[in-house]
Amino acid sequence: MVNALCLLCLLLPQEPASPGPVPKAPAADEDVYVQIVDVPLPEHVVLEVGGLAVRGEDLFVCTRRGELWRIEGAETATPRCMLWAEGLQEPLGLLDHDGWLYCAQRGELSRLRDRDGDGVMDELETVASGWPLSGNYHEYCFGPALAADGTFWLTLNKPFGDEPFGRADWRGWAIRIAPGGTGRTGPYREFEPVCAGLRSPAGVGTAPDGSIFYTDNQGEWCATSKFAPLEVGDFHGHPWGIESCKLPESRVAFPGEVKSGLRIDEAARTIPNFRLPAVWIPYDLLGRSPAGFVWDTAGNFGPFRGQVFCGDQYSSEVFRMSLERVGGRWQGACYPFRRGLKSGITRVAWGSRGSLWCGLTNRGWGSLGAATYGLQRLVWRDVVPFDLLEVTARDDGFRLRFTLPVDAATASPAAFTVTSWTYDHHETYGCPPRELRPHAVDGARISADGSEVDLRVQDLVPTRVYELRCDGVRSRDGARPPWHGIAWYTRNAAPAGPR
Amino acid sequence: MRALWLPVAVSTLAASCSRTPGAAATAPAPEALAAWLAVARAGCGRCHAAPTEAAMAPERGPDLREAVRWHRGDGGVAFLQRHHGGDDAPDLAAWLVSIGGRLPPAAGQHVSPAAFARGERLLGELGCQACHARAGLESLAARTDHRRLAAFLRDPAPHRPGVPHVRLEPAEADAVAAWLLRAQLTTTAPEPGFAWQCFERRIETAELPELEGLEPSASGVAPVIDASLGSREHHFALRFEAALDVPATGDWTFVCGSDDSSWLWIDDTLVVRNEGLAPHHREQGTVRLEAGRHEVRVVFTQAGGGRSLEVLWQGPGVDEQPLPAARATATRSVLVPPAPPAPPDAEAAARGLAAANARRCASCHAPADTGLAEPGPPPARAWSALRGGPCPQVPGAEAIWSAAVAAFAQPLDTAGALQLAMLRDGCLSCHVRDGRGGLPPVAKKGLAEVEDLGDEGRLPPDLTAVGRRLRPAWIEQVLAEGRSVRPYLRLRMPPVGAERAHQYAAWFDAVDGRPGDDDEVPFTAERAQLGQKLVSVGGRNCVTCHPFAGQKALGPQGMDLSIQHARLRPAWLREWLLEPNRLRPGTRMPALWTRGDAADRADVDAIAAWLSLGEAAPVPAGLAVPKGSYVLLPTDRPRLHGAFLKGLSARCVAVGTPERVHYAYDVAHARLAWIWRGAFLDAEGTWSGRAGKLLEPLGTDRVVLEDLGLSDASAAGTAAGADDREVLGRTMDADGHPHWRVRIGSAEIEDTLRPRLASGGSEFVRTIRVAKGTLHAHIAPTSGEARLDVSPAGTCDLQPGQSLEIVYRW
Repeated sequence: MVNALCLLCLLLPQEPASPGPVPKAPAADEDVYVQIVDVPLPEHVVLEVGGLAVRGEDLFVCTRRGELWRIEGAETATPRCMLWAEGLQEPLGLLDHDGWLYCAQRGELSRLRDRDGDGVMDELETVASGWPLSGNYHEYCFGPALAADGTFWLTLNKPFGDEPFGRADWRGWAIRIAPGGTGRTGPYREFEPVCAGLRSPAGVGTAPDGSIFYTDNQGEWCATSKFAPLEVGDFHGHPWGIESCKLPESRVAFPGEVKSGLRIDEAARTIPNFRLPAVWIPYDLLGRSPAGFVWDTAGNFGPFRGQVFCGDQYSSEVFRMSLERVGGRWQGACYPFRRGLKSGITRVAWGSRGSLWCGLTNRGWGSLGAATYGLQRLVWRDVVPFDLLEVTARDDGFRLRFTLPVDAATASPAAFTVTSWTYDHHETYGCPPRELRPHAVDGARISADGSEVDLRVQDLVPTRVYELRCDGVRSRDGARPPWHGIAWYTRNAAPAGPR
Repeated sequence: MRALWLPVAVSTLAASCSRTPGAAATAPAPEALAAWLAVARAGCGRCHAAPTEAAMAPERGPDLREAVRWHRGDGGVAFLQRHHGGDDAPDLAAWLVSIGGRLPPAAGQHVSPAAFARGERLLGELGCQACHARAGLESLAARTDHRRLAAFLRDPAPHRPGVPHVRLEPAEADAVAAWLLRAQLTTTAPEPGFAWQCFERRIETAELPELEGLEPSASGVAPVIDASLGSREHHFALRFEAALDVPATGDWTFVCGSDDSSWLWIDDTLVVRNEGLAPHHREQGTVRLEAGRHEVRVVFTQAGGGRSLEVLWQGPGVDEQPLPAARATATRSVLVPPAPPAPPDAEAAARGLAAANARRCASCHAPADTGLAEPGPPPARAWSALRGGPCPQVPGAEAIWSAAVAAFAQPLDTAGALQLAMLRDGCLSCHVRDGRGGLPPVAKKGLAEVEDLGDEGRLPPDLTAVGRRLRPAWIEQVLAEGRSVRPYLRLRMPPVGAERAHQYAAWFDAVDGRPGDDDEVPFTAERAQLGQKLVSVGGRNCVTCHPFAGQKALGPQGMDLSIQHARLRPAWLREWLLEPNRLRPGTRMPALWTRGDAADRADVDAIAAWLSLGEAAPVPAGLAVPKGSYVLLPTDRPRLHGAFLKGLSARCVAVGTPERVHYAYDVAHARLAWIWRGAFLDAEGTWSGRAGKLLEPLGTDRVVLEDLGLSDASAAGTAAGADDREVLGRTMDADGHPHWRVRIGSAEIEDTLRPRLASGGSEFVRTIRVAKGTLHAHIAPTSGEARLDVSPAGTCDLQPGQSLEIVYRW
């Protein structure tokens, strides 16, 4: 099936009317490389996962029901679930730090611990609070992520409406909290609103360098889902909360009236402090609702060390992303990785034994995985697939690095397909690809070790998403087709010159 | 049809009966009762006034303009002939039609095909034939329409004031009316697809709207379930129905995706509930289905904003896909009522009015604006002067008179008055009392047995000695509201109205009551705790068969324990626990205390003490909420639930205790906001769908507390004192009670509430310990509806380590 599809791609003229269906291998093929392990849960343990934190052999899980479970021996065959705390308000993030578990509730950042070691939480401290709530269900609060400077970062969802307690400030913002500051409330410091224009920022996390990134979900003013760095003063495009920019505490300058219907490059050019994402995640080609993510700094997933692994709450898959700095900004690509989890993924976390915990819930939204909640983990089987490892930008095209050496005979320009598109920045819910067009590939130079292919691509324009397929390429050993063989590169900028 | 009669004013009937306190009831002769009843039903008192006959003063009959609207077709000619006699019926009918106004033309009413079978089943289960003859019920199809009949069944009071009749739920009323009017049925040919109806109504919430009995704004059969069928952009509901041909036996998953809410039923069982005023969202449910036909029903609501609806299924051999029209068959059932009566002939109507005046119709029926003359004084002789001649209005008056003369010689005593009233109100058509009455065999046949309880679970309760068994206030409540307390009984109690209920309660007490019936067991916390153990699993296991405060029993569902204190007289309760079989031979209630010694009596007293706490009694061990319920039931430790609470803030924590008193801490405002009793909280609003709903307590006696007078002593006289406060966090003690850490100005306190069992329900003991700074306390003796017992009392300043104790009683 896969081979037949590849063959078709080679023969057919390359003029897709839309990005078209991704030639997805059955999930069973992914199982060759990545195993999904299900954690059996007792019936009374409803793990609608909001946050995960690993502490030694224990996994802490906070749930949308406001419970916090400790799972002893989580990666063993006989995990034991114990209710550690309850009564939290829809906690959607968990972080183990300094002997405390930090947790974002709707209206506060809290930290919790078990002082007497009897196995249940006995102390909860409010670290910060004060961002108002209208009482709309959509005012979720995600985090915290700990930045290099020791500040805690939270992302605040924008609501649908402002009932019943009145419209609230700072919705659709990222805020940060400095520990042990000297704010209004003694040791409890006020928060600092640092980025505006977020929509549904369901994941917030820390990069290896200590900077903060977040994922946002497609919707109004968010053409497709995205992955972006959070830097003080940036506006990410959603105008719901921009009135708050006029408050003295705001660290974001008021961007003015945000006009609906600009092409995304025009929006980036004309709206003050407008921040383009590092990676656009094309809707329905790669999930719909990205949430939690982690970097694989330890090489848990073999050749993909250094990349970002992100869960999707709709498509019940984990996909990966690679980043590079071009022109002083992050940009990069996203790739399929592992589908077939049993419910929507909200959070991912590395287990102590190197597998990737996936916390699941689809309540209220539905997902491709039919279960309503659960806990699974991905285990790397230590078999290296032949696939695109990483796509990076070159001034005249892209460099495609592979996990295994490529058969040079198959790496002709005809083996690759490049298509690009852009988006509109508008009030309408989501945006289909605009100005979709194929690009001619007129050069493919393979490196001496066979692991890299530099593609020369015609008519490159910045601020577009480039879909790259390498369906015709085969591995040097075994003439294997690529595992997924597809990447979507967000080319906000081109490198200054030949590298 | 029910025998037509005119009810008698209870108060006047009561006035004529002497009370015989304490005396054993002597039943009046059946003939005498029959005579009284006949006189009452004939309405002799309309014309023949006399002292004895005060009892016979008629109540108002139905409003004539309303009554005639029940008569499509002949305008009521046949009905008048049957019930009022005489040959002026055509004229009377013509006049009635002229005042009744124009009835709408015979528009067909679409009804669900499933309604008929359900209606027939309900007719049997509700025991309708205890009072209604089948022929009378069937004749309805010749004269009325579905909407009118269903409206009557939902709420009979406006149509027939003073006539006891059960009230049905809207869906039940729809089904029973459909069955009764099935002679009007016209069925459209089955066609592939989904029969749909649109209802224009304001959609304010995510909850399922009531659509039964509403007139659809549009309808048809569609090949696909789709939101675009709405007859307008916003604020409507769509209902889709079809018979679904399920190709294979197995687990079938149904998915509803919608903006806003949607629901899906298979064979009347809710399978998917997808509630939310939100952009497109999906829920699913799985149900095991046999291959073959199953009724599917989908309801969709659209409030404002975008709209979308998709309904998918997936099962053996079928990948997830929209419900296919090829497997759906729509049959629309339409009930077509008779045409409205022809416009009346003016002369006939004029003759009818004259006849109505001659018949003194206005003495029973509302005369206002009908042209009827106010009835003058009775033209006929007083009752005592009658000699048994024929009556121009009442056929068979001679026989009534002669029986009544004998009966009237001996006035009714209380027991007799009670019995007459029970006959008049139809009580004895269902209930047995002192060996008389009870359901006729034809009605008994249709009764369903829900639990394995034999006749006890099928038949209405025997009312012998009911006045000794039930507290008068309970009897009054049951009769006034028609409250049903036996979950295993499908029969329903018709309400008789507040006035009669009050009278019945007094009668039953007078006739059945004995001194000492109301002697209560003195309450102690120890007794109540022992009682809790006894009713628990591991004790006498009462909760195996008895639910408690709405929580289901573990086995068959008997009567709820939490109402028994309010319901049963204490002396009878003790007797019943010791000797159930003597009080009710053949009962399924086991005799658990057979020795009857001091230890047994102590157990029984303990149970009585525990029951006296009602819904606020500590939860028996062994109970759990059923699967799928979101009700929080603290059993062995306090439960905490973070939520939006209505009227407080979006940042609250509710704390529930096994002692059945609970509180809400408004974290956003750093204050204790509510206390309440009984059931704790239903977390559905926070734990289902997209959540974020405003919650309210489930229980009773909620007190909305006022702020306590606590301030930072060092900030006295400054504005910062009272409002500058926040919750700093909480610590949890070994019992699972939170200690709230609150900063007030520069002072800090630790705020803890613990329940304490007390007569009438537990109370809260609140301890406020100062951790830092100086706390100024000035506490009022009440807060909301709660009385506060404060120590130290009065105004004081507290230093670190010192504390304030406040007992909340309410």
